[in-house]
Amino acid sequence: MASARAHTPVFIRALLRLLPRGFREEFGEEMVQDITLRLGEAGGLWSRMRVRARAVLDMALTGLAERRRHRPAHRSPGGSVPSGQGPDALVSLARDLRHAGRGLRKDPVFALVAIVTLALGIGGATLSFSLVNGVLLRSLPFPRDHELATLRERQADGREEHLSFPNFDDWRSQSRAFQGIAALRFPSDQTFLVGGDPFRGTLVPVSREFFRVLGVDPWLGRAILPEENRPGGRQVAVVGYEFWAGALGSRTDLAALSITVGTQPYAVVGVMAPGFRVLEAADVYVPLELDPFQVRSSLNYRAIGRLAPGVTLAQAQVEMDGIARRIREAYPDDTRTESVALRPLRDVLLGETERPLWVLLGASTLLLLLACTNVASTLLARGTHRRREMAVRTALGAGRADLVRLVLSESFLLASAAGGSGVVLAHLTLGVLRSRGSDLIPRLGSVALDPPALLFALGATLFTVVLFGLLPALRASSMGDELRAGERGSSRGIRTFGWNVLVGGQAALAVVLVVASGLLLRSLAEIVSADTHFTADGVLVVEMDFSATHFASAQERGVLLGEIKEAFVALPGVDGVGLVSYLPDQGTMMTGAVFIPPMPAQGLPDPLALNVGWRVVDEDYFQVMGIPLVEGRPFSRADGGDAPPVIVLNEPVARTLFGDQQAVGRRVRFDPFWRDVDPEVVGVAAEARDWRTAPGEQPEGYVYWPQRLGYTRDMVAVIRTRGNPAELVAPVRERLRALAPTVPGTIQTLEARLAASFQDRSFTLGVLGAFALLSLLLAAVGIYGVVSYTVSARSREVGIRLALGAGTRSLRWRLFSRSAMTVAAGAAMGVLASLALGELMRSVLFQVSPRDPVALASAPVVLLVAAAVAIWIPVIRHTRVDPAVTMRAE
Amino acid sequence: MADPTPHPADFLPLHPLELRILLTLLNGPAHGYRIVKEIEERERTLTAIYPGNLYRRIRDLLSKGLVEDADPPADGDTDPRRRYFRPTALGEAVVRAEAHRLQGLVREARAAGVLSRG
Repeated sequence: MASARAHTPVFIRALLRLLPRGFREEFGEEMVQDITLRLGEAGGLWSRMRVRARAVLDMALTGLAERRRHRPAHRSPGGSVPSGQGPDALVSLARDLRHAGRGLRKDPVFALVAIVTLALGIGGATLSFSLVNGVLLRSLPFPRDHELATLRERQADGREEHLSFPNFDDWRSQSRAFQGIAALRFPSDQTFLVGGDPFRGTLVPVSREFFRVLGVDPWLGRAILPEENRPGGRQVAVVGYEFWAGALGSRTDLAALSITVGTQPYAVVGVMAPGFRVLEAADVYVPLELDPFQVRSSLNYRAIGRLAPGVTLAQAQVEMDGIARRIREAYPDDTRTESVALRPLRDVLLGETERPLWVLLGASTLLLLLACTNVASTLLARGTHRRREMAVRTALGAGRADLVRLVLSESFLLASAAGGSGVVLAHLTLGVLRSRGSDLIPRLGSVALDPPALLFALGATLFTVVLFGLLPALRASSMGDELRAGERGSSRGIRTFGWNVLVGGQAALAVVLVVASGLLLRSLAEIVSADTHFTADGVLVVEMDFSATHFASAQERGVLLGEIKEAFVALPGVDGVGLVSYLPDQGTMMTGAVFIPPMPAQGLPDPLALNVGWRVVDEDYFQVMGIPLVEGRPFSRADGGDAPPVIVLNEPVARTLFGDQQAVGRRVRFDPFWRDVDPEVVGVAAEARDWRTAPGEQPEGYVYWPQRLGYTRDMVAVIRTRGNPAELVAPVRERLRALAPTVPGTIQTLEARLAASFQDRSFTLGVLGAFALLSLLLAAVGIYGVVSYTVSARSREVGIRLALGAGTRSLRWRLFSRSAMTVAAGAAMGVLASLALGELMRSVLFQVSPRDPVALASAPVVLLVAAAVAIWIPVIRHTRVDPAVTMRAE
Repeated sequence: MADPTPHPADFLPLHPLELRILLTLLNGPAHGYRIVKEIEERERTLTAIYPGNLYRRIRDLLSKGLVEDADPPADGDTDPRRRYFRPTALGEAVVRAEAHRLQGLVREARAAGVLSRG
């Protein structure tokens, strides 16, 4: 017996308490044994949880049923009817809940407001927790993920850059600290031909260590073999699950599958598991080392390494820095890399999200606190109206404990309803987030309302009961005492200090939340309102993909491009046509190094080398897109043919390289376009940028397309129209099909293209605005609750004063100013708290100081205005009464 | 129940779970969990029977005198710490009566065309 008892989970024994004593004594031991056996048979954690949950339900139902069975006067001698002490816990709990439910039904508006308030609080906190848990706390989907780190080249001035292939090759062959280092090229959007049908997707060439370093095998088939991934290897591809399910129709006969990129067919050998992604999602992985780019200064690769067992990142750092130094000594003219920047992969993937998510969790916890204090104060205010009810109950013999239990049951009911709706709310919001915000938050797919999140919601609900239920419960109990003693509720009897803390606390919390949302709104406004320097209005974009069409030479492709452009220009309603390799809202896709020649002598750092994005454009692009030139001229036809190379820089690049000096006329070196000639800068364009990028963070160079026809496999025609650009979609498609039937084209208005990303913006703005408004509203309602409570509690004093001839106006002012002072004091504390907490927010803000005076000053002002209304209403209401009536009521 | 010699028909109809428990015990004495496992193995579509439900029925069967405590069977993997049950003579009679009653009902259902002839 003893040993069985020792192995029995305490929890099952505790459950027996739910049963009436007689039944428990007769069968309790047997039941414990049964559940223990069942638990032993349940395999995983999940099924054990299910058994436990079922056991709880079973015990509770049995407990209720057994008691009901004994209720109707049928008292068997060995039965379980409790003796003298009063009904036992479960029955009285049920009774209390029933009473509480009846009480709440009498005041449905109050119940509804309280439930909605708490549901918002619990839902918000649960959602933030599930985000933090799913995104930050869960390990990455790679075995021993702590061993994985990214490697980047660090320049002499401390700037971190991507890698060149030759540097990567040296690193991986020389490093002992890493058991493997894998390189990936940047993902590029491509058209894949599968059985003659084109599919758009993302291509990532990977080095031969890729799958081994990550420790992930394909879900179907096999990985790319090391011997396939070398010069002269095999053209094979591993595809992502989504691509396999879509373009490849989920076919399992991989041997028969082939996909063509450009004119190059690849044999499909494997499929990755659903949701597999490393740095970005990709559709097709191909060998990178068939023909790697052997230029040491072309920084177009990323690297991920896996540390050897027992080696720390710091040790690896020492080794890698030594390797980098030796490479630089060996190739002083080709590389400017001084050392290696190592970062845990986890930080790279989640770094930018980590702080905002914790801030979100903090803020929503504050909001929950606010909701609790709010409902507590409303319950208190309601308590004053219920004094009569309490008095009657006391007169009928209800003890202090009974009153406390009644009030607590109300809280419990409210909190349970709120907890349930909160979880539903969190679930719905998560759905919206998943469909909208997958670019904003990494790993959003792995976020779910799973058992930990539900447990958190349960905890939050219980916490809520205690927090907002306890004060009113204690209050109710002392009310019982007062009434029993026949004491009049005089103003002296009210412990004003507690109420002041409630009012002030709510004000402070609200100010903190409003300041935080205000700061975020302002930094978003900064980013958004800054000019993006291009005009999307009236522009039609045609994204063309020439990679699947065979051309004898790049010149031939250039001729076709020219013909297509001419055909578009000739269409009625067209004002101009420009060509560009990719649109401004696609950010930076291909990069090169720009610096002022000559390359400094070895050993000397080159502070002015910049890794910039580049675009290939034609002579009309700037004008058609409405991108202003701040200096010099755009390209002209005279730059074509055998003319000397020219380049247009954008403003951030020109300012970094030349400061305030004139950039036009200077020569720069632009790797990898020209290695022997230095092109002349002919113009400086404004920074046409993606609105999601902060101003100044999209450095770019522009190259004239006839000078670099090799880079025109993907081109976009931008067409400025006089009327509605959408009307030109059909004729444009017809022309494109007539001239280049094998070139797939995506045609849409630039506005429509951008609308998708603007939706993200309005969504974020909406969330932040709603957050600020909600905190204000909650605080105002809470302040209203407490003030109406304190003022009505003083109604006798008010009556006396009025009867004694006090002016209504001065009395109102007295009452008003007393509460307003408390709110003001609370708001001041909120400002101080915001100042203290502000540093936490610095990294999520853009060009706005966490001590931004506008946000810090406006939040308390807005709150005070809201609070003034919330105070004024009850003051007016309670001083409008006839003094005689108030006195008599006492 | 004041009747000193109760008639099996007095106990009909049996609760389905009571019938299942009695049927299981016809194979020999068993403790609670053994009963549950045998029922669950026979009828896989049944949702799991949890102990609260089970022992309430056993308690009713005990108080009606259809089941009684038994010694652990000598054979097999018995657990001397567990409480074993077996049907009383009355209990066995009641199972038979209930089975006949159900058979009659099935016959009526067939006649009404609700059941195909098996």
